[in-house]
Amino acid sequence: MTTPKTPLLEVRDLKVTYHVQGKKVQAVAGISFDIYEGETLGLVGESGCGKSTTGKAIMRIIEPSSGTINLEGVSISSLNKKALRRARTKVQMIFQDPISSLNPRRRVKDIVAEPLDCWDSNTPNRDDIVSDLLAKVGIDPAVYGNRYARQFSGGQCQRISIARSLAMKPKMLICDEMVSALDVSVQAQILNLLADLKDEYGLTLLFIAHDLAVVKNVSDRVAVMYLGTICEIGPADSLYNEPAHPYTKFLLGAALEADVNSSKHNEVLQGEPPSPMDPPSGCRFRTRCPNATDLCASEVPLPQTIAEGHQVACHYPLTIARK
Amino acid sequence: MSENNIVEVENLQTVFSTAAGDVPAVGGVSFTLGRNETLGIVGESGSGKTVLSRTIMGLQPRTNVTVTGSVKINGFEVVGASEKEKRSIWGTEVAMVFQDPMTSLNPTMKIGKQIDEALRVRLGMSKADAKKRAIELLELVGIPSPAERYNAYPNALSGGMRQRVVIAAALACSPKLLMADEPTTGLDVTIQAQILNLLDELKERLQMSVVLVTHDLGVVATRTSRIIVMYAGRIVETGTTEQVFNRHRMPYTKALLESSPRVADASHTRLKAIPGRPPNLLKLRDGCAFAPRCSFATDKCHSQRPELEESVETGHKFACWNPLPITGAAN
Repeated sequence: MTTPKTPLLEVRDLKVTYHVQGKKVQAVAGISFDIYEGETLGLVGESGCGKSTTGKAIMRIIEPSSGTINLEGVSISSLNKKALRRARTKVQMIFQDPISSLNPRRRVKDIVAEPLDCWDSNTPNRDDIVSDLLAKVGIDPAVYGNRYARQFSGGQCQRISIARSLAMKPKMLICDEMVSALDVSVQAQILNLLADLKDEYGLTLLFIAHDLAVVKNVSDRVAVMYLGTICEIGPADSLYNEPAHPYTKFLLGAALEADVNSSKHNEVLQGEPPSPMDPPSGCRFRTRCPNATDLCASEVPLPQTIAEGHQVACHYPLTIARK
Repeated sequence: MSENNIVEVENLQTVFSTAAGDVPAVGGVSFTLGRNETLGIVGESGSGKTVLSRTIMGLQPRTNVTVTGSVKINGFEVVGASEKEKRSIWGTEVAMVFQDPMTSLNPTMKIGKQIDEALRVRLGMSKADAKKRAIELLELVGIPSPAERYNAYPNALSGGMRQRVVIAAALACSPKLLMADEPTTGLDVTIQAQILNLLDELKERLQMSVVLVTHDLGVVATRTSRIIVMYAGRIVETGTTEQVFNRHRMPYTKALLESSPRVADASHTRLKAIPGRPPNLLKLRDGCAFAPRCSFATDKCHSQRPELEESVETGHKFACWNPLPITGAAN
């Protein structure tokens, strides 16, 4: 697929700092990326790498400490409260736990209508819009519209969340681990539904997840995060087939395939990610990287382009070594 | 009981009595597990895999539950045994590793003490001996500087390290069978690979049998010798790992395998989702529980339940009226 070259979202040098027990923790340590209109960018990494924080910081649900975020040329990062509220209608979020993201004591049709009611208490055709949205996500509005959120299973709740997120006709969805809590058979239904709706509504997606297979399945491009930084970003297929960052390679090597013939992880990444309170100097991955040298300890590797649209932040990228 | 089997389960049923009615969480399960064998039990949430593993341990709640059938662990009948009798096999014959390492460890107790406890109570070791052994166990499960970590509290350890501590505690009394219920769910992929490799290695070194209970087919694909696939409280297919993955006959097994995305597939590959969702155990119908979601279902499937029967290959069993053909079932 050819990506149109107009970024819908531009993120530049985004930093998010949390204050924990009097100490500063840089959860996101200066990341930059673009998301083009109509594409899906997958954001993958292990827990604590800052992927969810990134998703929330884009919408300023968590205030970034520095950096710029441009949505369709409008700087989200400098908007006042009122203008931010308006801008947020263009980007909607879907969260991990479908059951806790819906109010159990509200009726499904009211949950889906909530975004509309927020902006206009007399939205014309409100009920029709809601019924249409519910039908689109596979929930029969005539049968289930008046039921309460608590009466639904996890998969159905996630369908309702999707319907709600589409009510404002957003340009973009940020999906934060939206299928992690679901069983595989239901997960496949939701991923297929998301793909269909993306085409139908011309959506742009930021898809945040820890599951490598799921991320590859939905994404056009993938960004791999480690300890608050992006170590590699590129087209999904080439990043998975030819990872250039050692961390990406280990991550892919650790992924479990439902296949008896798959390899049995002889090369397992040792140790655990260091604390973000005290990140290593230079390259943040160097403490676990088998290829690390003194250079990695002293200098932060800058993203370098190794192929069309494929960037890696490593002093010794694997693909170049191979050539 | 055959000498070669560590576990023999015969027509095991676990029925919970709830206000809404009886829930047959495990609805008649029979299988055996050989010594030094690794068995995978897979299924979606609500399939009964966790209740099955807890019933085998004898860990079901005291009230509102009826367990019938038989579970023999190394000859010991678990069903109907008193708490005191069961305590004689917990730890020494069978031990369990649970999913969430934070809740299975006591947050107010040093990790070393939590391992000591089993050694002193069950094996009657002296304080000094128990401490020495606990440090050895921490080292065995790959905890760096075990002597210092002995005095750490669980909150000072990461999720992966806590799970290692839980494994060390489970191994304290050298059990012959280790039951691991979703041991890596909630852990990051790189840590998951570490823990699964550790379990593999320990199984070989300590000559144990292992039961891996999981929803993730990837976890069992390369680490088990046999697999049980559960659906709605029953075994729907069982065989060697190779038989279940490559020559499955039950449509549910096939659907489950095909619905999970794979790293090897190109991006935007359309997933083969299973329509509908797992049945409500309160409202189980007469026929095959999977029939409403099955594309091969016939009238017979809706009215009569298929029993688990042996296929042409020894040890490979499935419960289906319209099994997939022998050839062409491979992926």
